[in-house]
Amino acid sequence: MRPIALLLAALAGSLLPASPAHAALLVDPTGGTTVTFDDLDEGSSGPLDLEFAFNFFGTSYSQLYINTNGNLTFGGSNPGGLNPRLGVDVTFPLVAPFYDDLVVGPSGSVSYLSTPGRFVVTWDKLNIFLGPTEAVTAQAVLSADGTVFFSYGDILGSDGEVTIGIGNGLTGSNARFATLADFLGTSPDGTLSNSQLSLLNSASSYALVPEPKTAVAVVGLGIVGVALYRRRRRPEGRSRSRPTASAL
Amino acid sequence: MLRKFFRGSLLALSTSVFAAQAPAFAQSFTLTVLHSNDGETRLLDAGGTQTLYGGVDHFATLVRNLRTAASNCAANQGVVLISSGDNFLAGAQFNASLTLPVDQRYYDTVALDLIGFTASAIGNHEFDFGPDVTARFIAGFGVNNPSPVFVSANLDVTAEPALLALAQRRQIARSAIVRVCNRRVGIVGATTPLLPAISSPRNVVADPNLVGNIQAEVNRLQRNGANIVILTSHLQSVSEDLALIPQLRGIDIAISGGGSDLLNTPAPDAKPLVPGDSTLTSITYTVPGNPPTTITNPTYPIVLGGADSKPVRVITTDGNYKYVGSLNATFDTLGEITSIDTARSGPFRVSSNSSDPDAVPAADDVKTQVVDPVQAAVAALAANVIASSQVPLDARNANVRTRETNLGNLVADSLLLRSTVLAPGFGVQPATVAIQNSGGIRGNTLYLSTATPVTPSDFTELNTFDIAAFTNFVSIVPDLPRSQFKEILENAVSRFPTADGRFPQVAGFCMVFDPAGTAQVTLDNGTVTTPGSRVQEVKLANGTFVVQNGALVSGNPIGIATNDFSARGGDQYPFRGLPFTTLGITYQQGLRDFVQQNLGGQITEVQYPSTGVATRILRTPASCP
Repeated sequence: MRPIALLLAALAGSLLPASPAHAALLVDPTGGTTVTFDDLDEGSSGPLDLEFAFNFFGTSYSQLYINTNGNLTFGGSNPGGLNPRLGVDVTFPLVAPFYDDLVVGPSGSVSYLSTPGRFVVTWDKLNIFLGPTEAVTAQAVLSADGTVFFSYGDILGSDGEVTIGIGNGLTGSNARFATLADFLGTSPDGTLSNSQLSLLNSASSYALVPEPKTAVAVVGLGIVGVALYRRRRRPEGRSRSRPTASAL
Repeated sequence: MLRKFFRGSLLALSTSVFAAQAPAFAQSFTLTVLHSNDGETRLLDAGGTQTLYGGVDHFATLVRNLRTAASNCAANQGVVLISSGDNFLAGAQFNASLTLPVDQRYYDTVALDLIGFTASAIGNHEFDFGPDVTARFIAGFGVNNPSPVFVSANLDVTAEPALLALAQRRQIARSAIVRVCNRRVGIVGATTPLLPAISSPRNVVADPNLVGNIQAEVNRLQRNGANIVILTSHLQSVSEDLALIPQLRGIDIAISGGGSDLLNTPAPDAKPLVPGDSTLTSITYTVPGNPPTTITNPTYPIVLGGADSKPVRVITTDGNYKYVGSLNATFDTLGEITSIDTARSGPFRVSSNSSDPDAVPAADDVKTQVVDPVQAAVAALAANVIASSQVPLDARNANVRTRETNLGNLVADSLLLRSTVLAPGFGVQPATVAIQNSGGIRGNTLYLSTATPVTPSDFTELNTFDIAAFTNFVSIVPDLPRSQFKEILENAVSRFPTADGRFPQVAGFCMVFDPAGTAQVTLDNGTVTTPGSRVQEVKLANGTFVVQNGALVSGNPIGIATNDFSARGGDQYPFRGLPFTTLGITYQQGLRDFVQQNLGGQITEVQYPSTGVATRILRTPASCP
């Protein structure tokens, strides 16, 4: 149940010339490869190759599955729409920017951009099953250094509860996961109710790191840790964003 | 590319609008819950005097007929098919599955997959052969229909790799949401916390906190839009469910498994039962903190209030594929039951009796893929000679329940010697002695009655199933205090001269008892209220006395090999809850393996002389050799 890593960065917007509809996303998905699913409701696509080795909770992955319901998985497809509680429900290793009972409707799409440095998946204008249409736009960016970034466009609701976070899919003492709980005051298991979705307004993007050295170190680092982490990662010669974010 | 993420100004979600979106249902919804429990690999027919009933191929036809009649999403009528566990069981029929190549699915899996279950509880018998067999049973689903979700809110399977893999694929979960005609229906499971004591779950953990675990799942299902919630449990008796329901909120329907409890809808909608069956006449249950409650002549469904005072419909039926339970419930837009159609509810019997108006034909696919090959396999067991016996083997009740018999010795030896082989693999010390209750030696016959040393008879594998007919598992109770060992033996001979199933057949020791001594009186919980004085001598195979001249001889505790029925206190054997380890094989398998591997396929007169020659269970004034 313990989060092993959560670093929140109210990250700068993408330098890419995003279309207005995708302005809040870190990476403009325009030009990405549209994912085709066997089932637009409870579907999965993959395995898809990564152009880098992605180290996720101690395991290096070269492939992943993109699932309709707002999540990526490693090791197997995950078409189910009932969002798990991280650390409580067994899953494949999971990246879930917005795990809910989603449907790729007529106006919706899921696409990915793949480079040697990052893999970007965007769930764009997905419907909620038995709920509002064009309700969810969410993006996950997997970077070659292991960091996962979440960012969001319009979020018009959920089926009642959504899961946001990353996890190794195990439970109990073997569970390793990171959620937004420490920053948003939401449930430690990564679930957010409809009424809590408005908390996502407080920042534009979230960086979650699956592998800090220890959980204690992360908790202790706090805000300074965020700054150090970001500074360490920043390539030389680049301008810095502010070391602390508004959400901090 | 990543550096781009850190440039520029902060952006916030500026246009998001959050609003709870409760699905609006304009119309009522009728859900038919078809259910069964405790199929227990009775695939061919119901057996005994009920061979014209049951049969999983006929069961399949009836399910399909009922499902077709109740499914019409255009009219807001949907169906789920849910099992309450114990989907397979050891025995001659399941042995047909165990002998299949590893890449083939168990017959039980094929049958249930062809029928198409929505979800299933996980029963205790699913673990009788250990978690790897459980995993193979579940992994085979999803070929003919979508795999059911095997639900249990209180089981943690993560320490078993094969089950963990199934949980990752969501074939095993604490709960599930299924969609029925665009309605979300939540299904949560529960498994008896007795699991470690009555089966072999190895590293699977059964949390005894049923209320907490189930309620957490119900809450979660409701949060995710399921306003119809079904509990499917395997708690061994409907009385356990009745004790549980008043402590839970948000459940609409509870399906009970494990008890083979038969309920019927009241007249005029009572359904015809299988001849020989009868419904429960009363049920007594105890909600913690309350006095016992008795329901007299309970009907289908039993209705009682949850912790939220919401009426919960509790349903169950008898097992062995004899019935398809059906609850036809209409829900309002908020997921509350507004009516039950009793004409369409109740236990629908599975009949192949052509004289019954409700007889149904066998489903061809299930018959050809399951029933026919299993039938052939059982026939093959009868043709599989595993030993040659020079002697008839005595299972006549008048003998095996009052004295040592050669078959009793054979079965007891198989417990002792096969447990010795298996013990290291389960991390336990081999036992010193073995006790087999004679009630577990079946047939009431003299097997191979014509056998002689000159003209030995064939001992077949089917004989082992007939002799060791129960799903009892070879077990070891370690470190039994000598005083308790004597109490167990006193209980075993306490009913003599009555031919009682508690009379022992033994290995690894000799005992002498005095029929004139005081018979021990033991309560069901193993408490001895009247000490016995019949056991006069107990001498281990190494010559050590445990009892001599009726007195206990002090010494080290003793490890006992037995079957799990006795270890759990069956026949009032006063083990009194001592921990024991089941070794993953039934005593039938132990008998088969012993005869083949330890005896080399030869049952000799020298080793197992005919009845009348006693060396293990003697009566005073005899002494142990």
